[in-house]
Amino acid sequence: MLELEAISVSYGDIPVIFGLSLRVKAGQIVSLIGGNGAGKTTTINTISGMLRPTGGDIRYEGASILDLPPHDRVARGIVQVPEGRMLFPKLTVRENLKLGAFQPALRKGLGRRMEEVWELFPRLRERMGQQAGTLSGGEQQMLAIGRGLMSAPRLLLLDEPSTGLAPVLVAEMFRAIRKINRRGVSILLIEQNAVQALRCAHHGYVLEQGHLFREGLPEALLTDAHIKAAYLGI
Amino acid sequence: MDTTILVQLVINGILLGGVYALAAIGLSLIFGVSGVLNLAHGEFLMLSGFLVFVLHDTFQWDPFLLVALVAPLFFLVGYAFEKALIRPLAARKEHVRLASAVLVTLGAALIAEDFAAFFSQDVQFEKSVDLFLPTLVIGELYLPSLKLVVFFLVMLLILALFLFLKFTFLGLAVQAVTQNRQGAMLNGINTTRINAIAFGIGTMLAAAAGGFEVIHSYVAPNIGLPLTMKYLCVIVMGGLGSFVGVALGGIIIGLGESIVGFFHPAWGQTVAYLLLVGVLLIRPKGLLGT
Ligand SMILES: Nc1ncnc2c1ncn2[C@@H]1O[C@H](COP(=O)(O)OP(=O)(O)OP(=O)(O)O)[C@@H](O)[C@H]1O
Ligand SMILES: [Mg+2]
Repeated sequence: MLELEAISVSYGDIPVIFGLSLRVKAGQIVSLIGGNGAGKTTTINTISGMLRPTGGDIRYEGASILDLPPHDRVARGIVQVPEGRMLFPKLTVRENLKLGAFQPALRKGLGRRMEEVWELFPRLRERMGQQAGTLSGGEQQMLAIGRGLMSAPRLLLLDEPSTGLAPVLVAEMFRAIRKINRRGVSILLIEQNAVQALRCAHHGYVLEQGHLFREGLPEALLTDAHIKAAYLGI
Repeated sequence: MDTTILVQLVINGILLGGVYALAAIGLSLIFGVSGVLNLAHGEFLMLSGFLVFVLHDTFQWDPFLLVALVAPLFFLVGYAFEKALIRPLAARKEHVRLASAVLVTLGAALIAEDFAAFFSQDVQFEKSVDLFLPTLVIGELYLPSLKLVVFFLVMLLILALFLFLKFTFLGLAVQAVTQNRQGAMLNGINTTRINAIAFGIGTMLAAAAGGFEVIHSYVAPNIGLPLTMKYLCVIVMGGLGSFVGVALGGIIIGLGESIVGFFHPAWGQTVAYLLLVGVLLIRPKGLLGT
């Protein structure tokens, strides 16, 4: 579904991603883990079209998407739930969700998809009329994901969805991610919470300072001595 | 000063402030969405006023009808202005972009002023439309009905803008871009286009205000920049991002001018700045800023 072919990305003159190749197959959850500053956010911002790679190619469903602006990538089903959530703080929960379906083609099924979001995160329904900026951290994260789902994603890019959540909520979040995936959405998951992220994934990638360090099946990565020491804290 | 005069001045001030509020909300919308302080904002008001004047002079059409025709035209002017002059700056680094935007909009303002002066022969030549409506007299108060009609229309336009922002997809998108541009992009909103639309709407509001100015007072080629500065005061006073605050700010500055103008008209601009400083001392983020 998605193939990064040896992409390199720089901020100005400073290179941060070096020839990264990565693929997400349809229906999969793929986890991308790595330490702070490894380049995870940079990678998905490049997939979303916020950054343009200096080299390499990004192919989605067989065709290069490098020339598509971000909103056209959303229209194709590539939807990012960003780190830091980036909600519209003065708009209500409902309005934030509505904007997830801003693309004209998405407005038709808006009501139905909103029902699906309520079902996944019942708490959001209770807070429908509340300003997004006044939600708790956990609720904001739910709203960010809910808003992403309103864009009818086919490939969902999740940037650290469990950050700042209490342990109970983290478990709930991973359950929600699996549920979304079972509905047929492919997911590229970025996480600090490496164990959980790898456990729910079909495939894993480990990024270190912009270089691909390891890739493979989650079981293999979870037992890799170096990865254990560096990311899993076990 | 006796109370009748005071009440009269307050009424005049509110009526005057309404038009300020309208144009200032336009400027604020543009600034909120694009981050560009459009120094040519007042020029669009002036040009629109002239256009209404010329059309009225030539065809004797109803000036209010002319405002309804000319204002939407300025939507296109604002849209094109953004596309031609502001959008090309977007790729620059932040501080370069800010400096360039000041130069570009200021340059446009100066050109607009010269353009209007050239065609009206004189920078200070005041143009106004003669439209007479009988003054309402209530007790000892004189209510200028023309200004009342204008005020009513101003409020109607502000209400329409509010409904647009609150209840349409496009309006919500405009708010979204103001509140989190990157979040908006990731939501599939074409933020480049929203920038142009915000310039269009903001300019349209300035144009409507220009039409109203020419109806109930006058326009002259050199009013643009001072007005832009006044709207800037209004926006900062109201609180960045709050349209209700901006509306209040407009009315407060209108009131200040009206009352001080009764004693001496020369101090109108000073009042705007003094009021601004006063408000900021008490509320550093403006009346309703957050
Ligand atoms: N806008 C920017 N300008 C310049 N450098 C940046 C910018 N954003 C990120 N970087 C740098 O690029 C590198 C990768 O950053 P990135 O945000 O992709 O890391 P990350 O893996 O997402 O880290 P974290 O887990 O802390 O979110 C870092 O060294 C960071 O300092
Ligand atoms: Mg990150």
